[in-house]
Amino acid sequence: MSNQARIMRLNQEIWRKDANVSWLVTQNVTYRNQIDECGQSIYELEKQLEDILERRKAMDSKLIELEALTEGEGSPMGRIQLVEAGLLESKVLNRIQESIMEVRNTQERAIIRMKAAVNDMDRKANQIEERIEERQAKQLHLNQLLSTNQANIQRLKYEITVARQTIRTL
Amino acid sequence: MGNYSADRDELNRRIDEYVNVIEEWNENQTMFSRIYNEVVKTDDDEITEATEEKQAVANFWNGIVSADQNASTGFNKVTQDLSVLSSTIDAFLDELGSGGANLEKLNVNNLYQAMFKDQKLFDNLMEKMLTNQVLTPAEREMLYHFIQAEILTDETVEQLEEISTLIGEGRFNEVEAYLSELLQSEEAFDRHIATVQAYIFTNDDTPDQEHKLLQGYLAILSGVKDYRDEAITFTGETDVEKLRLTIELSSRRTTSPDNYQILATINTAELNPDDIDDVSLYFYVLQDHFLVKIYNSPNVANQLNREENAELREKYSSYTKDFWTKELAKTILTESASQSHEAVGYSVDALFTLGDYLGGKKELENQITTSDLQSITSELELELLTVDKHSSPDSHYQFISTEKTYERLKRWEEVHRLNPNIPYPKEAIDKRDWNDIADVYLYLRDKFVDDNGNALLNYIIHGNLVRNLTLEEIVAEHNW
Repeated sequence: MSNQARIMRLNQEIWRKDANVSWLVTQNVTYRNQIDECGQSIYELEKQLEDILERRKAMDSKLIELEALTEGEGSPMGRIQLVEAGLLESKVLNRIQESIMEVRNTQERAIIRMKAAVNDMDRKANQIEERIEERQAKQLHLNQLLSTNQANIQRLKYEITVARQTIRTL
Repeated sequence: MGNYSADRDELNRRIDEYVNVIEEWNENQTMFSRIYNEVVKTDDDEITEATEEKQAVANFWNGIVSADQNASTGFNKVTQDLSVLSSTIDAFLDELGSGGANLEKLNVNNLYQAMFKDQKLFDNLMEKMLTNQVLTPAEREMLYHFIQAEILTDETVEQLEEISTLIGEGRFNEVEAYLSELLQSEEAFDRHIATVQAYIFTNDDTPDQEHKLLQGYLAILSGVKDYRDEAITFTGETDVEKLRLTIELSSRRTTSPDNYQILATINTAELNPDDIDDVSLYFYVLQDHFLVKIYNSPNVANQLNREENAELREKYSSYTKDFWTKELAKTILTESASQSHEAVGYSVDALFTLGDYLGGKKELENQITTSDLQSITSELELELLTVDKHSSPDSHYQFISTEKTYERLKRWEEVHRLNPNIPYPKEAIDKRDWNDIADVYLYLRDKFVDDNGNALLNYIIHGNLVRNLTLEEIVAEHNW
């Protein structure tokens, strides 16, 4: 093969590898953006998770207070007794007492709903944790692609430099 | 008033407690919901319900205390947090004025509203008045203010005060003239009985002489009413004017200056036999006498003893509570039905109940031996009103409490607190049900006889500790 022909082939190789590097660089920019996006998303999800866990804790403590306030006959709500034989007797007080019982029933139902709400918070927290894990896995994968690309870019650039040196020698 | 105050304070305390619990609940639940606002919405219903409860309590309270200045001060305090919830209550309190300043000008409609808006409360009060039940202190208080505001006018109060004075001074001619006129109309006479019942329906635990005289006067009026009704039944004459009923009053000399006695003689004028459906029935209506005795303390037992030695009476029957309020209850029902209150619907029902009551139910009476009557009046320092009806062997009695009675009850409560096995009729005392109190007292007196000169009874009656015993030793069970 003549030198002219070899130079032409090397130039074609350089051009192809340059294009390849450009593509890999562009691809890496995309990967970097995606990695950044993942990072932002993980940051936000972690904040959400923290918020949810905090809320859950606060809800739980409120729930404990509400339960202590209402559950059982010895609770402050259970002890409310506007009627007492011989002391406070009246049909109107009886009726008020009856509606206090209804309030207690409503409170019981509310506490059941609130317990469900606390469980729902747990479910939400789990979902967020899963999403964070997904994002983290994606980020890891992108980083791997990025470093593979980076390695390819280095290799191609080296090969391009070698090709250029060969051309000069010829 | 003392007991009612205790009730009120206790209820205030409980309402405070309830309001606090509900506030704490609402606060915690609202915060919970706020924390979790995307999933659980604040349940407004619950808060509304609690508000309604407070409103109901406040309404009830209004009725009880609206015309009572002392209570209204406490009422303002207790309802402060309740009243912010309701513009109606705010308006009511505004009207009442600071510390009850506008008490005199109080709009009676509010009182009506408080009492009549609550159908069950109203029914309950009327039912209790019409049957042989004792009102609770709170109910009595509410009813007292209602009667003062709605049934009694300045004019009637003045008139009854005058009647009491005339009787007290033995000036019977004027009373007789007044009654003769009233007897011309069934309705007017019954209305007068209701007015007297309204006047003596007091929230005072220790009635004064004026009230006691009017109680005696009322006993006579009720006797006259029965006599009149009998005369109508027997003669078939429905026009009372034609019966020409007459009443003569006189006072009798008593063995003690503390006693008071009124003798009433009631008669029908001779009727024209043509005016009577069945002539033979005419003779059933004979003259009748009522003797009212008011035994004032002290030494009711001695006075009674002296009377009884002469008359050898063995037993007395108690007046039932409704005896003193029946006509009044009828009047309240009729009035509420005739006015455009929301109560109209059920007043009519209550009137039917009244009809059933008057038609069939038998009054329940306590019977008491003369010696027990002497023992109780002396040991519990009760005063006494008795009524003898000439045409019947029955003698009726009614206890009247004095301040000293309450001192004894206080000591009785004290020994009961130290040893709950000592019986104490708390409920009956709260309701001022003297017949029940007397029953428990007689039981205590007979069963708890001790070897220490009846140290237990001695303490309750005189407040003395005997034989160097401490109160704890006296109430100890092995001493009985």
